[in-house]
Amino acid sequence: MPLLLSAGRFVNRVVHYRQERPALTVGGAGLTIAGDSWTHARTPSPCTGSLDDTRVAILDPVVGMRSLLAMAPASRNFAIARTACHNLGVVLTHEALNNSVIGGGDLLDVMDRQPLDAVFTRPSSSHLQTLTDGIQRQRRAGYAREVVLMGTAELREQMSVIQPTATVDWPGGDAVRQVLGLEQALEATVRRLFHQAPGVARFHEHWEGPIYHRAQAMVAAARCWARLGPDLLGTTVRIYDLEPGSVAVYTVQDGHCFRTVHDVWGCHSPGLARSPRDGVLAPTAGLAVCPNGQSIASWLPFRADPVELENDVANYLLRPSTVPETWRELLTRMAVTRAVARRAAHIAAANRPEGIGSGRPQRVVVTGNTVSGGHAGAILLLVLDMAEPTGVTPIYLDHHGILPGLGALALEGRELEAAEPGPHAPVMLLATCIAPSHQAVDWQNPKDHTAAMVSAGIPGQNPVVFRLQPGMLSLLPLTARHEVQLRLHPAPGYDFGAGSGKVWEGIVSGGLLGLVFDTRGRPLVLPSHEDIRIARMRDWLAEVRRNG
Amino acid sequence: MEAFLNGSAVLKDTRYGCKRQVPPGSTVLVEKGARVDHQTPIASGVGRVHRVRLPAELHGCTGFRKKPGDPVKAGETLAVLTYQLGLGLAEYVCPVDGVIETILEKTMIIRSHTTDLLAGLPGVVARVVKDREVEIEAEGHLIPGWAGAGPPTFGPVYLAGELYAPTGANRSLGPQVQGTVVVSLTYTAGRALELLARYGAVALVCASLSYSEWAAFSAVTGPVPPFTVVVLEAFGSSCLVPGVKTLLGSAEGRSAYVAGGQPGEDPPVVFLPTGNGHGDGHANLALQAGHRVRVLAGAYAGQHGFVRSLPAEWTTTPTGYRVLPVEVTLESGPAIRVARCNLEVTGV
Repeated sequence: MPLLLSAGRFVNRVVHYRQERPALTVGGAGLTIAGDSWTHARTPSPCTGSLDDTRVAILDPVVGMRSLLAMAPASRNFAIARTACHNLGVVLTHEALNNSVIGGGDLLDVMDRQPLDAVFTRPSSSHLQTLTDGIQRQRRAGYAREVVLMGTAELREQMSVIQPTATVDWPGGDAVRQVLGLEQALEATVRRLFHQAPGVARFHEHWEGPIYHRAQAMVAAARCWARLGPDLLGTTVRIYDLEPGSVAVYTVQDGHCFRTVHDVWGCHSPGLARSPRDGVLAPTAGLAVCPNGQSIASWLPFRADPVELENDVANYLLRPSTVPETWRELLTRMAVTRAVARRAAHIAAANRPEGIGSGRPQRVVVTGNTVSGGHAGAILLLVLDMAEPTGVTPIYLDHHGILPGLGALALEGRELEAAEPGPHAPVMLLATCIAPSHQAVDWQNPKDHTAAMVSAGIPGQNPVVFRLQPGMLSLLPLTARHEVQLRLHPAPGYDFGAGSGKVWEGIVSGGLLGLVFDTRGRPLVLPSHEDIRIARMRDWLAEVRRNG
Repeated sequence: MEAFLNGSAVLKDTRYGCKRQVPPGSTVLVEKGARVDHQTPIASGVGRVHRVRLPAELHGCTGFRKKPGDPVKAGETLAVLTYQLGLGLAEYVCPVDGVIETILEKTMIIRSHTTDLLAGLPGVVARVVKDREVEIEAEGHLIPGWAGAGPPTFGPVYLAGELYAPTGANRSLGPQVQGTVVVSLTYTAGRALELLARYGAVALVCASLSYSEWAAFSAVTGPVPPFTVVVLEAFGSSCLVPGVKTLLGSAEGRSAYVAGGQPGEDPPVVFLPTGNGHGDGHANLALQAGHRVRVLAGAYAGQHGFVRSLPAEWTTTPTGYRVLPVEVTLESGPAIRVARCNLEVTGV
């Protein structure tokens, strides 16, 4: 089954579409699935269509899904509504009322000046008049096609003056149930919004197969990954979709998938606050005041002039489809990704509803344009710094950007074989990370005590025995890519998944790069002294470059 | 691959379909086929919302001099705060003519009087989407920008001197820039941004700018910049392509249309109307030998050159990417190989 994917190595996956724009730019890669086994899919090759078999298109809309989430922000309900909107792929260009993002005056300004395609609201009485007037003005110009009122029956009666296109009963239960309930209730509206978006509507004219939203396809792909585990309950899988300057994290937890998005230009949502290819800046969310500035520099293994660095980063984000040809460029781009991803995790932790998206992932998968090429060792180091896996965690790399395609197959009802991807699968096992949880490292006065004794060997052969020290990153390449029998005997206070000081034993696969032992601390806190930090980072980089 | 290449070639004597989005709630005043000039109103809309932030001490007190619904003029006192037992006095004045819409916590909302949206460039109305958009077809030179911010605007071109140092900006910029599109053919210092805001320029078109200075300026001015900015080359110190330099250098006093772009929809542009539209408007921007290109990444990022050849075999960069290479002769002399996706066509 060939697919048309909207992601490609040299192609900005955002589809630009104005209704009247003559040229529709869509790039992609074809993918052939052998039977029902996606783990044996052929390596995709670039193509732009002309496929004669069943076709599925995956689009990532920017324009045509500009939405406002207008709710009282301090409440738990706001976090739940935002999570449900993010899961469905709604592009929230404006959020909330009464907080630092949108104050009362800003709401007036937004409703007056910004075209909005949808409004999801549960307004307070003080904002009802502003919202009503604003929505009426938007509707006169053909905007605000979807207005969804969320709340109780009593509240809806009060707010009926807004004349919503849909009303949603606020679901009950715990946070997870509320998110899932709201997601289910909003799904039809969001699907309508997606298919009405000018570019998608235009794409329908030339495309006979189904069209899926990238977020929707990625959620389905994430669920497929969760099914690879022995038991769906208690399994957590995390997928990082890394794009230049933005990161979307999909967390599958007990079979339910939750998505969070963060963008360097637009803070929370990859919406209209940015448009890298068009080169339009969002001046308020400058790199100096958003997540970057100093934080990017702290992830570089060299000293960089802050002004020059900021110019380089801005130029890169404005032309994201370029590839780094020098190591300095590659490291700078990876540093941007680290800074954005860590910032995203911080914001998600502060804003997510209770019990959602937390927990140690049993698998980590990375995809997106940022990792669609480049040195495998550098990508591994990026994932370790960004995801901070603990215990024994396999890390998978989607080098070809086919995960959304797999998700689309699942949405099409194809039963995909639930088998562990091999070393030659398109989504391959990059390495298996072994790291203790809750470990602090004193970089100023390093200690050389033993964190754990490791015994690793191919079953039936003599194992290699060595000791792990704190503050180290070491790679054990497995040239044959065999499975190895691993035995970890931690010192008291160190936990590799079996409990503090308890022996962990099992069979693990090495993947492309082998086993990586990361004792740099959890959470990872870089040395505060610049010289020490740079020296350490150079050591870590040398380790992954030597073996990667 | 050509379809996905970046392209920022200057289009001389081209036909430009300028799409003007009107703010929600506005009414379009022109019809299809109508001839418009720079100053022709194309839509009339509701006034803009302006906010005056007030200190917490004023909240709930009797310091307000206006109430919702009152008409106000620019400079009129909105609220007064006394402190230090009445010895100190702070006045909060209205920034625009309009009406007090509402008083929220710590903020006074003023809606300015209805304003007309002007065409900004001479041409013919090619299409009208009711209450939403007007497309004007105009003829002239189109210069795409690298980055931009701010709404579409227009004005006579003012060629500023050397703005690459603060002292140069102090010397070159004064009240004469009011209402003009200031063009800087070199790197532009952050000091110039302050001076342009102070003296009321409508737009800045510059070769390059430091991103940190732009961000620091934006942090003070807020989300909507006081004038439209279009950066033509890149952030950092980059020089202009000679063709663009000549074009802008000869535009002194002529009217220019400048748009900071619409995120996701329109890129930033500078347009110089000429009335002649039969040039290279349909130039082939696919990469070919002989084309002028700009290098976007790698060791030679920011440099200009000409395509010498396009080898068909894939190569691997030192960073592990498989790319199709292009052989480029740089203007500075050396011949280099660059990944095809790291090139932008700037001239054909």
